[in-house]
Amino acid sequence: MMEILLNPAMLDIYIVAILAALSCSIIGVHLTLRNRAMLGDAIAHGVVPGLILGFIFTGSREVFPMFTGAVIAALFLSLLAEWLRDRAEMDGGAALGVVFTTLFSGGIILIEMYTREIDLDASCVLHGLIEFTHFQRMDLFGISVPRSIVSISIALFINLSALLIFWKEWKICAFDPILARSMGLPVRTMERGLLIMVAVTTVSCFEAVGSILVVAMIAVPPTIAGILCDRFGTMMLVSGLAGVISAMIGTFSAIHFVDSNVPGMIAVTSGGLLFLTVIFAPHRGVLPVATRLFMWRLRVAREDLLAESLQLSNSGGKFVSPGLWSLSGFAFLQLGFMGYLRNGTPKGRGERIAVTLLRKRGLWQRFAADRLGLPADHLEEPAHRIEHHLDEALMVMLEHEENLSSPQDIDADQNLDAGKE
Amino acid sequence: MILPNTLIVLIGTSTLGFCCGLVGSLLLLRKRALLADALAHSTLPGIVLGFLIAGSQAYWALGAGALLTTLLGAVLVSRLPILTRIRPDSATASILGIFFGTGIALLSIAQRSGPGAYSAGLDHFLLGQAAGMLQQEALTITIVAVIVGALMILLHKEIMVSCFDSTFGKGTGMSMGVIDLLVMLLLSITIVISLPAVGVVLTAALVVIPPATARFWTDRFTHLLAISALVGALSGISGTLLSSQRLDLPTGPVIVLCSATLFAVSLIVAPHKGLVGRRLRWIRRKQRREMQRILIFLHENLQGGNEFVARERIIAGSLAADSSALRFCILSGFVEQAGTHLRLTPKGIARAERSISARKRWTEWLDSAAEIDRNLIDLDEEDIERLLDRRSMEIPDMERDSK
Repeated sequence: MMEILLNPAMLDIYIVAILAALSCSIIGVHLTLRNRAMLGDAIAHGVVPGLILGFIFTGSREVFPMFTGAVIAALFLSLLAEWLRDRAEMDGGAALGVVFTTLFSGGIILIEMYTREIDLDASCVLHGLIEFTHFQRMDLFGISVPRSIVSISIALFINLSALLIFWKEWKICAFDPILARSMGLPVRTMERGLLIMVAVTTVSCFEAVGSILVVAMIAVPPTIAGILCDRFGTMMLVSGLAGVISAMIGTFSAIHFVDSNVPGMIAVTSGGLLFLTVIFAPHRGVLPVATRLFMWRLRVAREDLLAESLQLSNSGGKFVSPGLWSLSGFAFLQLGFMGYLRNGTPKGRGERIAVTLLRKRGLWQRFAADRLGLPADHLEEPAHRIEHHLDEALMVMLEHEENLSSPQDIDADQNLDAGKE
Repeated sequence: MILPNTLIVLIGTSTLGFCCGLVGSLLLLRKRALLADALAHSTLPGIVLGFLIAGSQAYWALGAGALLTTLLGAVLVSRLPILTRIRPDSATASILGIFFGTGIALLSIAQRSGPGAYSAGLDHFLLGQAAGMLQQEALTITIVAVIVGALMILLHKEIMVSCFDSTFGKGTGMSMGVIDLLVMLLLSITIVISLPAVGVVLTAALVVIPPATARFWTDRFTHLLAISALVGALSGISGTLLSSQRLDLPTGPVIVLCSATLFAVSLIVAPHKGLVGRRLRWIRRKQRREMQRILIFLHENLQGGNEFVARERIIAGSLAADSSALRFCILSGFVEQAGTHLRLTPKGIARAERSISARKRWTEWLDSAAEIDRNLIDLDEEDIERLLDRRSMEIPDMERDSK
């Protein structure tokens, strides 16, 4: 750890990666909530002609003209795609796809035609120059600082302040744009502002760390946050956190473990985080959902075994223990271990469970037959399934219902009906 | 004069455009056009892995690797939104970012550890090199295009159902899962074979642009497929020929620009959905509406006893925005000019009466049958007339009689 802190070049790489990941993941939450996560990818490709045109018009490799060109290209792209979607009634995704691929092709042709002699090659655009952050410096109030740290910090500052100042407005616009409009909020202006933020962020990060990091950080951390969170604020926090963690682990592993490309490794790390989230996320992850289902099925199997054995021991039949390699076999073992089922008869708490279950089955069957008028001879099977879902409160209600309508009443009702006819 | 080398490229790019156009229209109809972009990016780790495992740039090794990761990407994109709470759009973007990032990381490992001279060539998969297409690549593309075309013809009914109403398809006993899988497989194969020619990003262009272009010309499934394939092939041919005129231009991007040009032309001139067509239809409708107002206004005046009405009064009274509608009336022979004043011709009177009666019946029907407040009904007489002409002119009459 100490050697990183002592080595300013490495420290700069860490700072740039973290700042870029943070600002992209904030923007990403806005886009994800609007179902427009692919906009990041589209802009990362579509700004290429803007960069090149900025270079061609001014003839210099200064940052400012290229930056301006790229931001203009990004705005042009998103507005044109929106226009095609609304006016030409195209599918939104297709409109975006048409526009950005066309712009990208135009950009490549421009590179081939005008900038052959300079080293503006495609791989530089894709990978970025994060490794050389430390060596591209500029003067800020007399202090020499890496240039990309300044530009990304500006983008992050814009994003954060816009987020905090218009917190409530962003929330309403994201979740219920119609309500926002009816409340008199300038929804259109806010969406335009968001586009400008996206363009500025994407371009400033793009120039410093390459398009891969931008694409991955706009898409992945907000997706992770979307699985974990239900609230706008926590989603922002978790997304930012996921971005920062991916940036730190990714940079660290790229420098110290695998000797690879830093943005690439950051994307890989964020992918790992997404994988972990999909599997382990509390309540919604694949594993918790599967566990819940398994526990429920096991409980059903246990209850069925107890009820069946009680019925058999009452009627003098013989209880056959289930095959070992099945769910009910496992449930049988569990019951034996807990002492609920001994020699084929339920004992203690097991007996109470079995009695309650059979009572629930009978109650529901009678309720369905008498009160709902369902054919009694078809109720065995559904009762067998529903009994597991009936809780104490519902049972009390069913009992109450049954007491209200004793069999005599029903007979009387039927007689009345017959008399009417 | 076409060189034999150019001929190979020409065959390759045109069949590639054909194939991408066919597969792309299925994506467009499923509203998943950007999936092509994500899958094209997710080939990269497969290409590099294929290279690292095979140790050479053998076409088959790279292709197999690419196909593998593309299919993995396709499965993940379609399964993630089902497994847990992820929006389809986010899943697509995430898979794109993660797979492409993995590919770049692997590429940089391959370039540092592997034999530099060979691994440098992997970069070409990012942008493609259509001009350097080999015979075996062109052959593979042609074979795949033939298979894709044949499958589309054989299974067009099943595929159509899966695009528009998969619930109905399931109800009729077709296996929608298998069809979806087949479409994904075709898409992945198409993307993989087009990589060496046009590269990662421009593959997405070939899959997205031709169907979007074709969509302006037709509403029918089979026509969409045919036009989209045609647009793809056409842009392949024209792009290759254009770039062979100027050798310094890369073929892939020129092909994309050609199809983008076709897209722009269709966007403007397509008869039904094009911008010009829409605008013209809107203008014509507006003009007919204004003409109708003029006729009804003149008819009211005629009933009130003044047959001749001054031009200024007509324009003010009938709310027609300009005098072009009036000119149109005169040209169509509904109104005739007598000095400074105008009057309805017999033809014009008949026309005005038709409009008035249609309007009356419509309001009455809405009032009685649909129970909509008369004041809230915004009338567009032309539409009403057209609707009533067809079959329901008599129905309001009958209802009135029964009352």
